[in-house]
Amino acid sequence: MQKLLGSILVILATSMAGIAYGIELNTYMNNLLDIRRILQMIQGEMRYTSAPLGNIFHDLSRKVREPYKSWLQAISKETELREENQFENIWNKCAQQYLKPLHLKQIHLEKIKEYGRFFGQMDYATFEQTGCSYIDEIDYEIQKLRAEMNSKRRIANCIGVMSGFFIVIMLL
Amino acid sequence: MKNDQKKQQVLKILAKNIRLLIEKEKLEFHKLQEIHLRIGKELYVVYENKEKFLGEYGERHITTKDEVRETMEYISQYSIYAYEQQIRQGFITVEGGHRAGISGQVVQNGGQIKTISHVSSINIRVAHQIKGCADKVFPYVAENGQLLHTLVISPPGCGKTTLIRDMIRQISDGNKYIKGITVGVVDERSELAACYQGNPQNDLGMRTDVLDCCPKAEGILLLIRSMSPKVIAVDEVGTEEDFKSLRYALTCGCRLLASVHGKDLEEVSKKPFFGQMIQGQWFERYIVLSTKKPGDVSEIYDKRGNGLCKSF
Repeated sequence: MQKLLGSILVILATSMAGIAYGIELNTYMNNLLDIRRILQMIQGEMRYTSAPLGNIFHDLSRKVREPYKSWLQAISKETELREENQFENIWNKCAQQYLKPLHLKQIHLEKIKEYGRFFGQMDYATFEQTGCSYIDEIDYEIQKLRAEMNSKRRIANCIGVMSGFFIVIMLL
Repeated sequence: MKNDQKKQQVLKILAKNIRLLIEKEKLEFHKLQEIHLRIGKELYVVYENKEKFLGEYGERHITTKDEVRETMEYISQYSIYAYEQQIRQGFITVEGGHRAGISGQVVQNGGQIKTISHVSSINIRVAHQIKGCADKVFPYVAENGQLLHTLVISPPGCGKTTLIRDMIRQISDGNKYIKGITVGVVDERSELAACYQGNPQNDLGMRTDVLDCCPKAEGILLLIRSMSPKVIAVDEVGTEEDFKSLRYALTCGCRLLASVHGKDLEEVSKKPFFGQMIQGQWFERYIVLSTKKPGDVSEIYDKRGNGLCKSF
């Protein structure tokens, strides 16, 4: 009886690990979707209000959840302080510091940083074109993740269950 | 505005190197008038009406391209796109009402100025509001507690805008000649109110509504419809549309306070539209400013062109 109960528990635990990995993949993709949405909101605000970046980030910080809220607030504060000689430095510093809890892959963090390179330096029409191309690139990454996600999740679930059985057989 | 506050507002829009140089000089900011930055040229300030060159170890500082670029970043809050409209006019108003004039390469589109790129020089004019400078004219422009339609005539740089600004403040708040009434200001070039993000940085009184960066003709109509001001104040009128709007304001019962570039009443009466206005007695008072000292009044006339007083 004890052996049976132990076996079930082991299989359950490894299966859960597989499912947790799937959820993690899903959360990661949702985070990228959130970032894309924020970047689009920034462009929208720039287009319609023509307000300076500090004001835009401050206003948007009230519409998003953590950690994006702190990220946008920090950018707004730094912009107001005018201690960095380029906006790109503020953007990179804040992305590095405040998006850490999202555990973004280096390639995705780089894409976000690159987006900040052109902020406020040119007229809006030019920025919109450049900004859109970066949003498209993030979109492409999201599509790639989405395509991989189903198969990865299925594999993770299978490996979870199979490894459970494997451990049980080994222990028996 | 407190001296310290003014200092902070001005310093934070300057490149870091220049901030340090100015801080070293220990300037009193209420005496500081202008800061001039030109790529490859000496950095200097206008202080107590005199030029003062800044530098270190006895050498004059030469402004670099990076310093001008950095200063532009700070002036525009890293957001050039947000100031496109102001840049087209050649200046950006910053917090505190200080104004950064810029010049460089003008980019045109369809015969109109699109923007100024490759900024090569920046002139920062520190805002100084002179409260009380209109005290002396109020005995002549008010009657039975009401403002008379008034036109201020002056060549550039003689204090016309400063005078109107203080008149607006006193009309709005009220003084011993006029009971405080609502004033609508159409500030096409952000000179009267010096709005920063829509907020007037100069004190224009408690009953004043400002339309910033709005063409005068449209602004006058807009204000009358939306804010029902008792007084309409505009700076530097001149176009046919301005006159049509001023006439509309008159028919709506608004009092007018306006200004125009000119040496004297005779010269102004020869300008297009003004002859008609003067003959039609639209204005009841004409204040002509002196060219000798900024802010001094040369003469005040009544609606028939009779002098009421001279030089004060």
